[in-house]
Amino acid sequence: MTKALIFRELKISTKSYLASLLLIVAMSAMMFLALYVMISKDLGSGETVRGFSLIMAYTFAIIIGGTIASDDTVLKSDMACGWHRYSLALPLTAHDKAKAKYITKAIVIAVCGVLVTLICIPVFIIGKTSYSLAPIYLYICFVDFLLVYDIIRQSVLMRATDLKSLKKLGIIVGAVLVVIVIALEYAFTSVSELGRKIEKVMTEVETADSPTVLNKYTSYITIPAHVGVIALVLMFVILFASYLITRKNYERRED
Amino acid sequence: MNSYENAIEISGITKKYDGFTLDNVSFNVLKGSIMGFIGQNGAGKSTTIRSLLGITKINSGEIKLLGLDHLKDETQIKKRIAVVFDELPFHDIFTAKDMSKIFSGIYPQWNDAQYKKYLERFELPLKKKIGDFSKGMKMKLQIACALSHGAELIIMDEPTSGLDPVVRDEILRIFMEYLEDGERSILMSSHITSDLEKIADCVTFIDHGRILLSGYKDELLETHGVLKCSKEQLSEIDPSDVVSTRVNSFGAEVMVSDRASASYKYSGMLLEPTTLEEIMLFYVNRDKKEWA
Repeated sequence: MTKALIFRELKISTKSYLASLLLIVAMSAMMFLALYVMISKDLGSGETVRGFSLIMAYTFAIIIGGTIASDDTVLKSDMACGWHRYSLALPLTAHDKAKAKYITKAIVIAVCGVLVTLICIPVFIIGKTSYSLAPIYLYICFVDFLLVYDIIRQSVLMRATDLKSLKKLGIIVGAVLVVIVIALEYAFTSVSELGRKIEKVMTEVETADSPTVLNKYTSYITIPAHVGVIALVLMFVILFASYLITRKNYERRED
Repeated sequence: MNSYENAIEISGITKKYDGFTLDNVSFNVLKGSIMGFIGQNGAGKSTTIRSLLGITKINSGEIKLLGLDHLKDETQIKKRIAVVFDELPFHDIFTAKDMSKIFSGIYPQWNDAQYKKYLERFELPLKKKIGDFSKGMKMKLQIACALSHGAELIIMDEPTSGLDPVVRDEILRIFMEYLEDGERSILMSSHITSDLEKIADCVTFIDHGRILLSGYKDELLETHGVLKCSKEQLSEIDPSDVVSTRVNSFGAEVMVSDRASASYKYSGMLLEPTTLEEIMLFYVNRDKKEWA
């Protein structure tokens, strides 16, 4: 039963994932092109190239992490075609459905993690910098953050009874996220010392063409190894929590 | 497998919404029979069906499917029943072959050979995306899926609405074949009464959330009739015999619920047999003295 449901989830999401992959490939191509031009035209010092290559690696990590963890194609599709309601008439328990969903999610997260690793290898080679797991740690941290957001969003969206209310709730949840992100960013940059340092460096980066500034910036956003490991353990905890909450949501019936 | 007399037993279901209440709905579906569940749009047919399937919570009442409690034995029941909705609930990107992969994992009794036979009979392509199917093809696919795991009870919510007469006839014949062994049952809601007249053994009529009539179809058609008379003759008819009266420029048509008695009492008037559609129309307008 689980295999059948995982097959279903993956088939529905494939188009969305392929579209995201295409976007990532296009962005990668542009950034590789920029890196190539920098190197071939000798436009920057070795440090600038290294800094730029690290930023590229982080950008891929964030994009890939953001794309896969925030994908809700299956939920929207199920609501749109009536499968969610129909599945309540099938011999599927809430546990069956939630289990399949989160196994699928774990598979996709793992595959994308491998993708991040593979994309970062040429980035570091071209940038003539030693391979670092920092982008992978950043990917894991970003996926953790988005998984938590996903739990909240799913819990709200599961209360939708039709596509119209689903869209309405989706807009509300999205707007709330934007407000939270802006508030967090403001709090981070005005309250925390690290935040103020990064903001200062960003101003320098905008006004000065300095490889040192670029490297200073990347050092600030590099995730240390111990944080990366904690984030990985946390990911499993969040996935399990997501499964429990999703199962609870699937147990709900229409009022 | 447990034994049971009624495939569906509903007793006193009440479900309240703002502006609508399913009020004390009770009826049974005998094992081996086809129950036609008729009513206008918004009468409560879909709400009743969703309550049966546990999709919607009810305020009170008891529901048994295949002799088992619909909530306590939910998973066991759902392995043995099938559902057909008026709109296909499968995603457009899937093919008939994909649905076989999915349902073979969901239903332990899934019969792939049977499924492929139905697809052949319905002339449905195995590898074409469902999104490219016509409405009739989509309904046939849903029915093929419903009939391919040996379901003892099939619950259908307006399965023939929006389909042309040829497709409807084909589908109705398949339902009758499916019930030939006497061990399977169907509950089919519809407002296309002509379909139910063709295949239903029993009929339950719901209006504004209440059951108005429930019984054997032939019996209902035998006991009800339409008296045709002039407007002046209306005063000769005992109001207690009247369900409701339809007037037009030529005269009046009066539905009676005891045709045998009416044929004696009103022998001077033309008394004609009726149809389920007419029964529905006259009962829906029963609160009006006369209607057009």
